[in-house]
Amino acid sequence: MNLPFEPTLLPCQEIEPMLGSHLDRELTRAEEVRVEAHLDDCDRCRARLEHLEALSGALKGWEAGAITPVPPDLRLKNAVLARVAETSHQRRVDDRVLRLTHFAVAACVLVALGLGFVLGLGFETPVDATPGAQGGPIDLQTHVGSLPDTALRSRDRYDEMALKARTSLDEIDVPFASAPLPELPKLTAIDAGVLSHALAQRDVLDLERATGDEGVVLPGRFEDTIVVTRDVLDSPSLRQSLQKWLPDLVEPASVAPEAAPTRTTPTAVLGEPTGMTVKDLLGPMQGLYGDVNSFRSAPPALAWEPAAGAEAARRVGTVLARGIHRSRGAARPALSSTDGTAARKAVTVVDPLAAQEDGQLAFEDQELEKSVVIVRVANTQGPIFIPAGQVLSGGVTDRVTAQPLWIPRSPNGTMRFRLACMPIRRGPDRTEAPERVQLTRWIVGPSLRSLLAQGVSEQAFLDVAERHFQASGQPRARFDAFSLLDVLKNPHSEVLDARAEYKQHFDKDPYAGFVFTRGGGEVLGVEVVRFTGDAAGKLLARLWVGYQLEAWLRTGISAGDRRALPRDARRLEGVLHRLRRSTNVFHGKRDEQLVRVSRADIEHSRLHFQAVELGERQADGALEFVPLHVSGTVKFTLR
Amino acid sequence: MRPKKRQTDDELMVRCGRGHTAALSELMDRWHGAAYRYAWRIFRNHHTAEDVVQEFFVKLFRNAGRYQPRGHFTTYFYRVLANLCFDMLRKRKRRRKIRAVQLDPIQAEGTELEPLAGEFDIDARIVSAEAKDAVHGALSALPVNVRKALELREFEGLRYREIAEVMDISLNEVKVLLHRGRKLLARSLARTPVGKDWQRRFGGRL
Repeated sequence: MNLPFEPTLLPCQEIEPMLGSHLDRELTRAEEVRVEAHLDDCDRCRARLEHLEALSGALKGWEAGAITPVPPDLRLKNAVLARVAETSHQRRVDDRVLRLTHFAVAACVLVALGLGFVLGLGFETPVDATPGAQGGPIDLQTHVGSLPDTALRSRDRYDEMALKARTSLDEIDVPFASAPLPELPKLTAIDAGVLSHALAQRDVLDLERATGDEGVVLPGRFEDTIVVTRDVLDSPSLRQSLQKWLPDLVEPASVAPEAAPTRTTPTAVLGEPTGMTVKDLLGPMQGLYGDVNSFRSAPPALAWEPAAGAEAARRVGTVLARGIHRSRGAARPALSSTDGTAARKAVTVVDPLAAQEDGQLAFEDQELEKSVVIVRVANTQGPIFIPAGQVLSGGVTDRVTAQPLWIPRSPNGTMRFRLACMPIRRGPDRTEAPERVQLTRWIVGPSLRSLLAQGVSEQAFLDVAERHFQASGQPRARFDAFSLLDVLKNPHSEVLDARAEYKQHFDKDPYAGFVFTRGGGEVLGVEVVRFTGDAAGKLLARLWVGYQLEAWLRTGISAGDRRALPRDARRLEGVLHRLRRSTNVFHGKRDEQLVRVSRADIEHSRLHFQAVELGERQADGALEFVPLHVSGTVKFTLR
Repeated sequence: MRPKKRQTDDELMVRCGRGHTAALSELMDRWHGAAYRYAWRIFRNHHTAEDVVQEFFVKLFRNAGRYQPRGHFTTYFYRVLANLCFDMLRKRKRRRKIRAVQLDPIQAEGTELEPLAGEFDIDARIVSAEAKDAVHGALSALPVNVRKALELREFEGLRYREIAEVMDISLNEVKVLLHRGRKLLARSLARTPVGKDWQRRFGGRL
């Protein structure tokens, strides 16, 4: 090989920076020769080169294993195209404006020339009669103004709207509302379940709209009615949502208000609500505020009678209510009040866990919004209740359901609903988690808390917990259950000590904690429970931060930092106040990535606890409802 | 009939500049995967990566009018993408810092429930997760420029000249950055269990 120079051996410190380039084949020919010559003689640099190769291989291996392959994503593509459509459209408009402007200028020049010509000839022609001078700007305005609005909503706008929809839930955390008057077929539907999931759908039914505007009554799925207002029918997108939501409806577009079908299963009409306490009415409906277990153990049987007459109903407004009876035996009959003459209908409430195991209930990620999970039900024979506070684990993030959701039965096919959630963790590993979201065991949710709050024995509590865990059929879950039992039954357990400590501190106040652990003492979670009466409601009402409290306790305990635990309610309040100001309450474990809990999520939580508190007030009989006017708004007032 | 000639990326960009969304769609088909992988490596989060990719293509389209079609789309692509990713990363880091202060009293190990996705080999999973965390941690700890250069070389396979164009630096600077990056990375990884594992697999020290 003829080289223009004689390769000379270079010292290692000069070669070392070139090894990487050598590996990447980025050296010049001359440099290459020098490095090769050096490597022939130097073991140390050869070893370095090998290490570099190993490092490069490891990096590539890491990437190959780490990144989940992403198929071409139509949704993403659509989102991008929707966003750029506006730009593109605007650009074309600008082009047209530019072209038209050029045209107008040219026309003006021509007109001016012509005018000059005419004037030169001595004719007098009014300038404003010239077609070009008149048409330019006016045509432009018309043109721009008549452009179709092709811009789609941006995501931000969408979120903003979603938030608005959520905040309006303030007004509707009541399980009943007004019923249609016989002569006025424009009123609402109302079943708590229908309302709940209609509102979860958000697009479909808006309470203000439903109560404020005229609407048509359509048969719903939940053996009841819903109201679809004219606004809804007039909006193609909402109509589309509605059709998806209730696929067996007659085409909404073709339903005129006057031609609305009558309700197939009229609901109980309570003509004179003044003689009835809320406790009477809502006792069996506690499930709305608690969970499946709490309403199963709720006091039985509503005993109201239908309205005395249409006239009375029209005078005072009507209240339409549904109750769910305490479930007894396999049939679990529930009250589906009818118009007073019809017999009760049995409704079996399906256990969500069981439904999930049977494949009747499934959860899916909703890609666009992280705080929404799609619930899919298929072939269910009864309604399913997903309580607020239920922990959903899996998918790209763990979540807590922020809003209870009643899902109507779906005997003949699949239905999909949106479930508002609060993300509680988003870590790097989630990208590898299966897309399917799963219900976890009832570890942190309100179910066990509810049992505790009802004063059940520890054994009963543990039995339920165990049943839940075992029902899930997963080895890991069983493991959790047994560990839980071991820990709680072992009087010398450190966790029990912690529990005793909480109890001691909180005996005068309503909170106590339960700690769930896995083998080896690793803490899985804490249950915050209420032990005493009214003080809890007051405190909750003031603090509205149940989930923050749980998170705080959970993290505090896992750190073993008991000094940080509040010694009294006042201090607790202070801590929570500070937490409330911060929107971040959860802390990821591995990557130190903080999980952002947005204010909207906190709002969810607040609404939930507001509902809980309302329920407690109702149960105490301290709350009554007052129908405001004939159009049917029902308002709660505190005595 | 002659098959329709496949348009180059440059031609598509020019069409984007004229407001043709179909051209953007075609570009997305070609480059979405690369953009996603890049963003994922930076953020290691599916949603964030998707958000970044979305933002990136929107930006690409909006700035397409200023694009000079000189056959260097790849470098243009990575320049815009890298700037976007690292800008976002910087903002996030700043935010995170503030949050960490607020969370000080409760800074502790989380006790979230792990996903219960059936049986799996816990050890393998932990090792694998550790390895990923270690590599990601080591990469994240690198200075931004070094990281950019290293990732463009190791993961995207860009030539030094292209990296220099993307980062708007000289060829020599690229070499220096890469050398420094590899050194830092090896040193950082060698301290982790994963590094030790690699030492066993590849022999010698990293």
